[in-house]
Amino acid sequence: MRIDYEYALRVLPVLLRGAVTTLQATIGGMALALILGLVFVVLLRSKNVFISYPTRAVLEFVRGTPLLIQLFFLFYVLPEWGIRLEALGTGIFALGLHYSTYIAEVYRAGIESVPRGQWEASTALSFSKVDTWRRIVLPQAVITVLPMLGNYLVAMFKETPLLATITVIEMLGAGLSAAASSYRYFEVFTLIGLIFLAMSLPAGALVRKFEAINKRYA
Amino acid sequence: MNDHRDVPAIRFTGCSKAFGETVVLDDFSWDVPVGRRVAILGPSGSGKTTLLRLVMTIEQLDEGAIDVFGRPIAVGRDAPAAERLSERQVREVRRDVGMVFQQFNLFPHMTALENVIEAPVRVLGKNKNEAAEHGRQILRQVGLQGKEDAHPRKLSGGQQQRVAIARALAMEPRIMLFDEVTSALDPELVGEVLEVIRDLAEHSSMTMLLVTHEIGFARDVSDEVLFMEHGRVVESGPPEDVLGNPAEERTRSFLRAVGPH
Repeated sequence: MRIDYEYALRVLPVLLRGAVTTLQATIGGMALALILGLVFVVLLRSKNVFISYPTRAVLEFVRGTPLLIQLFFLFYVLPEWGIRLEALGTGIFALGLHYSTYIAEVYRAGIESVPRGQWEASTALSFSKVDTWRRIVLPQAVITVLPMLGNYLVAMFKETPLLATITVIEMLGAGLSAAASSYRYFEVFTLIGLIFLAMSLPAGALVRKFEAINKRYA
Repeated sequence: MNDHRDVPAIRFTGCSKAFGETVVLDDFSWDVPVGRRVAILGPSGSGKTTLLRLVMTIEQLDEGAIDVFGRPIAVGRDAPAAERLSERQVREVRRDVGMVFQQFNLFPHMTALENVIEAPVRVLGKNKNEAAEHGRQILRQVGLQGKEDAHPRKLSGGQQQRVAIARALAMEPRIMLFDEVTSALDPELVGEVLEVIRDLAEHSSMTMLLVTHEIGFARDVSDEVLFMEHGRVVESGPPEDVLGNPAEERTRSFLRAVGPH
């Protein structure tokens, strides 16, 4: 097999434009997951069982069904009910929702890792509930779980090609349409793989940096 | 009426507390006059730590009531709705009380100075610069000049406990609770912490409750000793009586057990 370097060079800008969309989906999805995850963990920790039990059920449901099915459902079924989102928006929402259910558990583990004495000291100093969470508990919880959050970021990044199935022209989508006319599948998919690798390696290094920070605190 | 001479710093009225089947405080009533330094002694599980934690509202009282300078800070679970306290009421009264813990419980993500000024800034609404200046002064007072920017993990146990004392003092409480503050320390670090508390007792008019196993320290600092067992007071009185010439056999055997002093 002959590798067509010239074609590879020509298709690279197309793929890189797709990569921009991939990054948008990842950043948007992660931001949403971080916020929704916090909402879920607050509901999950509620002392009211009418709040905490349904929340747990929703989390189990979202975690127990494939992201691909959720994508299809949001993209093809919601419009029938009159809810219309553009493809990328739907993709970001699905990624964010799906990952928020895992991130809620990460937060929970982080919150539980904060020693009871920290809550007691906060009570003794008469901190308000909001200040106790914002200034004492969450900063410590987040430091503990940063490496785990980093891992989920990388995992979500690598799942963005699923968005190609709902017509989002991210890297895979861009590559598929390029390859459909050129039949140069080897060049296209090799390049896509390399671009993914080039972006996830620094992210992996970041996770290890978080782990190092973590050790320093322990 | 709050600062009237007759109003005790802390008043326990019929206080009871159990953890599951274990009764740790049993119909306990007691007044702590303003400015009194009380050493609380007793075998582990006698309810002395719980006593402090109830005042600090870290534990929920089962029955009875606790007042601080005449204002309610805690009521039993079964109190009628009209007597229940709002979070805001409790916070208001609690500002008069500071506590130092056995395990220090410093905030690990903050420097020594940040630990000390966080509550004055957040809770009392103090200006940050003023709080920092006051914080430095208090850290100096507990012998930690130059350690302002150190994180707790860089400090020895004795230094950490002194930061914790400074943190409580920064709120300018009128009552200080010390819960076995030297029990988690290596023996060679106990002295520096006790020295700080001695100094505090000498140079302030704060009311102090000290749960301790350091008999010599209790004798020096306190003007009342309370000996507890099974959630009840076995005997109380001036240190020279309770420690020097205890009336109860239980007290005598406890003092023998904790060793020469």
